[in-house]
Amino acid sequence: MAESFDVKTLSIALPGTGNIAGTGIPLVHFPASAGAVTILEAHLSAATAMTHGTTWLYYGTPVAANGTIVPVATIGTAIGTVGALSPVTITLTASPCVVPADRWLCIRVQTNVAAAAQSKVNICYVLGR
Amino acid sequence: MANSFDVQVARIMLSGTLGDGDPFPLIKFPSSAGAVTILECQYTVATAGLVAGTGILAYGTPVATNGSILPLATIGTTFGTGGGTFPALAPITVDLTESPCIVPAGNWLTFAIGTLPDECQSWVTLAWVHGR
Repeated sequence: MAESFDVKTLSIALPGTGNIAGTGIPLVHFPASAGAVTILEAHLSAATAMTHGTTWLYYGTPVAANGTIVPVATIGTAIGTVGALSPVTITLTASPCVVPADRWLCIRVQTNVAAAAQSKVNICYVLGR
Repeated sequence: MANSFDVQVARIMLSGTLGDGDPFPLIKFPSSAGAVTILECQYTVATAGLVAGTGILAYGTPVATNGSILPLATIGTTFGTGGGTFPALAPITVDLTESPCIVPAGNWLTFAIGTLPDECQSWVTLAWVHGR
């Protein structure tokens, strides 16, 4: 029997030129009007095996209007080489893993990744906390 | 009147470097959410004239921690024309081979297809409901 109701799933491709060490990639924005969400699972995968290094999943807010996203809190990490077509589990560091409303969910990898990686993030979440 | 309630839809890009026949992990249906029922699935390519072969929709689980996905069951197939060539920007229906087409909880949905050059830029579109 299901423990979670109305689970949402996302598959978000990352730009090859965006996988730059120290630069967060904005994945999705949870609108202010919708309330918080709870992340259930997160995975990182790539088409070509490539070392991504330590990976951080976090949420944050823009540094300024139309600006880059400043991290507010890290909510997940993953370490190591991502094998071809082999999803790596991003370990969630908060339980429940809540992202407040009006925040951007972002990912950042430690190591520069070539465009050939063609990596993506999978997210499962529910609305509310 | 709608026949299905709270239908979820997704559009998922496939990587160009997808290997021959290797299952590409599309999305994972978490264990806590129960099974889902796939209503529809389509496959679209951006560039015509590229031989892609047969498309196979399946579900499965990783062979090991952080490993590739081992298909457990095929739940859909699609074929191009003239040896597997898909027309540009024309969604091809993936024929679901189960009715109802159920994916158990805790499984990855995968799509495998043959030779696929980078410039193909293809994607899978899905519609499903929670439950069975």
